[in-house]
Amino acid sequence: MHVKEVNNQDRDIVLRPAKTVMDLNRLGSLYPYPLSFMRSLLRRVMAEAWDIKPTVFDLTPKGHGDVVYEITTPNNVYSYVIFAKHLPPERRVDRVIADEWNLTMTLCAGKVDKVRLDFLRDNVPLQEKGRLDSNCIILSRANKSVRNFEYVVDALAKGGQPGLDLISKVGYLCRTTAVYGSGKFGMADWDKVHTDYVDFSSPFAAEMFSCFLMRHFSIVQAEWIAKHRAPDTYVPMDEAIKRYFGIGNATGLGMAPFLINHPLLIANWIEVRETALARIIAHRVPEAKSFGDFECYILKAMQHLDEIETNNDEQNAVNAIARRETGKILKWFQSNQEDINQWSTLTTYVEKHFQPETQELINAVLLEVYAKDILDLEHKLNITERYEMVPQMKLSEFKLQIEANYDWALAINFADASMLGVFWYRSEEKQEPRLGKRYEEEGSDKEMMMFIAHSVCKCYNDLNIYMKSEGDLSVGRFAFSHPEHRYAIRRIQTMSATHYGEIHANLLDEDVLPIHLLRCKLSFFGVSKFDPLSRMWVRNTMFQGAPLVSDIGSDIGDHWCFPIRPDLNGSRV
Amino acid sequence: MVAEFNLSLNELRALLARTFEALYGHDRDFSAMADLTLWLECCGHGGIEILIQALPGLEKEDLDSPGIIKKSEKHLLIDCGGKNLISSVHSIGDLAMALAADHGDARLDIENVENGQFLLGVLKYASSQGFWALANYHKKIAVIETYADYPMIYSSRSEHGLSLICAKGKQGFDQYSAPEEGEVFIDVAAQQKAHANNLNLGLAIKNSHYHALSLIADRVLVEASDMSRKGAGE
Repeated sequence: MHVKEVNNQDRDIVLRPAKTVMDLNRLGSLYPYPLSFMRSLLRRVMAEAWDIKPTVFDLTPKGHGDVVYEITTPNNVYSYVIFAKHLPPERRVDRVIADEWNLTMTLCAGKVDKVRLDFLRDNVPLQEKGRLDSNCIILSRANKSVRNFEYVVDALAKGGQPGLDLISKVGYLCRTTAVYGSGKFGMADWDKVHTDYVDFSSPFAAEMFSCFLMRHFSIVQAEWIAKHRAPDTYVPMDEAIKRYFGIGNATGLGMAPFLINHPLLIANWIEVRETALARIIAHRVPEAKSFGDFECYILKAMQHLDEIETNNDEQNAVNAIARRETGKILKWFQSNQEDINQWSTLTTYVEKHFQPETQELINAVLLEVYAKDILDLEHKLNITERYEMVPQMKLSEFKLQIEANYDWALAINFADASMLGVFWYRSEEKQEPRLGKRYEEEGSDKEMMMFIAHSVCKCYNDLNIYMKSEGDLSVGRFAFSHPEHRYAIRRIQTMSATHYGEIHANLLDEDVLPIHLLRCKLSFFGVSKFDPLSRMWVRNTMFQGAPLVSDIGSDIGDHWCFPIRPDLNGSRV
Repeated sequence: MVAEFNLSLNELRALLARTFEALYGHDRDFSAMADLTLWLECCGHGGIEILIQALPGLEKEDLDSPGIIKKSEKHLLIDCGGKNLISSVHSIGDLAMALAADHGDARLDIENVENGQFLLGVLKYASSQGFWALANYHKKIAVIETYADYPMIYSSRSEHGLSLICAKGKQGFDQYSAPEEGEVFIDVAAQQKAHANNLNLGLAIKNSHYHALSLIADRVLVEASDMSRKGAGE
């Protein structure tokens, strides 16, 4: 049983129903918000003034070699160790199955001496084929952006600044293809990170920090190469342009099983987000300042949408519609401000007239307007994940749980072959999750457990038969007779105790759009620009517009949502 | 010196989950089996060694459920048909708790079964559901209180066979637990220490064990092909 602490001000709020929020299309429309993990991390880094300095900087003029950053926080010392090398274009692969990269790196606890550096150099560049130890927290890699890196180096070497048009299109110098944590390849388990390295005890904080330093190094490396290429003409990059660079990321199907295998965590993240939104709608009264802030954020969001360019027509259309609808909402808002005495007037209007993507954009804006009022919810994002059966529960109660919380699954007609049209499996290539066509491809006998809706339906059918013959016994007896449903039973019981429960989706549907799962998780990370390459993987940009390492210690605020082009007056190439 | 491979708990858990998934498919709660085996290993009860010994038998097992012989409303005899306990230990735990909830306490004697040590792993599950629980196995008696993380394990002076006892309250429990307890075999502190140490440094697994498990676990992987790469979004 999960007992939750409820803040007094949240006692009378009304959360949106699971039917609305847990719909896969809706989850695939979420935008980052102030409690997204990148934002949380940087608030902490800035507030605690983490000291980040290079202790090893052994690079060739072409930017290849070893770099170690030492990070001192109020609680610990960590090292971020980077190995940079030349990667011939013909050996470059941007998918997870690659085995060579421009940059490989690890975040580890403590200082790094020569012996330690040698050990890391022997293993980190190998990535999945290497072995690390429990002092290592993160293992990652990145490749230079083909479209941007050389262009930027060239511009700086010639004494100019890179143009914003290209950065607007590709907002990074390097793109990571994997960020591993939580005990992979011998590294520290999450339970150890959570307790021993408190600086990274919130969800994905270490992963986000690794990406933050990757972004920092990508800029340092570009400047270093440019400076050595043309010392007489080189100029450093404009600080505002540096902030406009994020770190690229490519996310594929690997992220989807995480969401399905950690339903408690996901339900909790959603509940925290919805609590924040409901708190604003129930308790915050619109007044002059919040009206002004709302307009500012709406304008910024519209510019942000205007500036996103992708090669994906569907995503471009989604962005265009959201931009157009947001413009209409702004006009309505400006003409009806006197009648808006509570924010629900706005949200009700938006829900009635506009698509979910736009609704979620407006919700994200409201969360930004009242960011300071929701920060107390940040510590609730962690949860201990235990999926235990309650064997003493009566079957009649269990049946009601299914009918109340899995009605969306029971409504799926699995007699329709298309509802089972795909299967998820792990490839022998790095155990990469993949999607297969059930009726065309081999491998469905090795299907991954991604079929929650189907499992629930089978369990429900057998439950009805069992109850007819045996009566209203306990769940433990049913599970003894039907051990094949045991996993489904404990999952149903566990998730029924949560407010939001499962993601409402049949992931076996031949038309399933895994990209919605990816975007949902990425929004919690704080990712803003999505550039889908197919329905199964998406390029995106992390930390665009965020403070730089050199900003730590300054009073730069937490306002880098909806990143937009900086306003510059310098020279351009 | 035996060559060892150091794994994080998460890695070992993933390896075990794939191993049990390869052995039982989705017809059994492979995820719970992995958790139980990991718990035994982490707490110093040799979960991997027990599993490795069991593997040849597991490879040949069918999925028939254990038989039940009723001795009374709250006392059952479970016949596992010569199979390994890992495949039915959770179901046996479920049934014991269901009976204890109905009658205050319950006793399940288990016979015709291999690797009875796995019974130790369900005690924490029972405890988390608010039961007192006791396991007799291999001349040991393990006892756990409600909502405790670890059992106390005693050496038993005599062999009692394999049994699991669950009770809703201490009163109903004492009738089973007190008389036969002998010397403390493993106390709570030793298990806590083993768990903390393994979390801190990782688990050292014999290379041969790691490879034996991987060989089975890798059966859940699907051969790569051009078509399968399309299924990754290429």
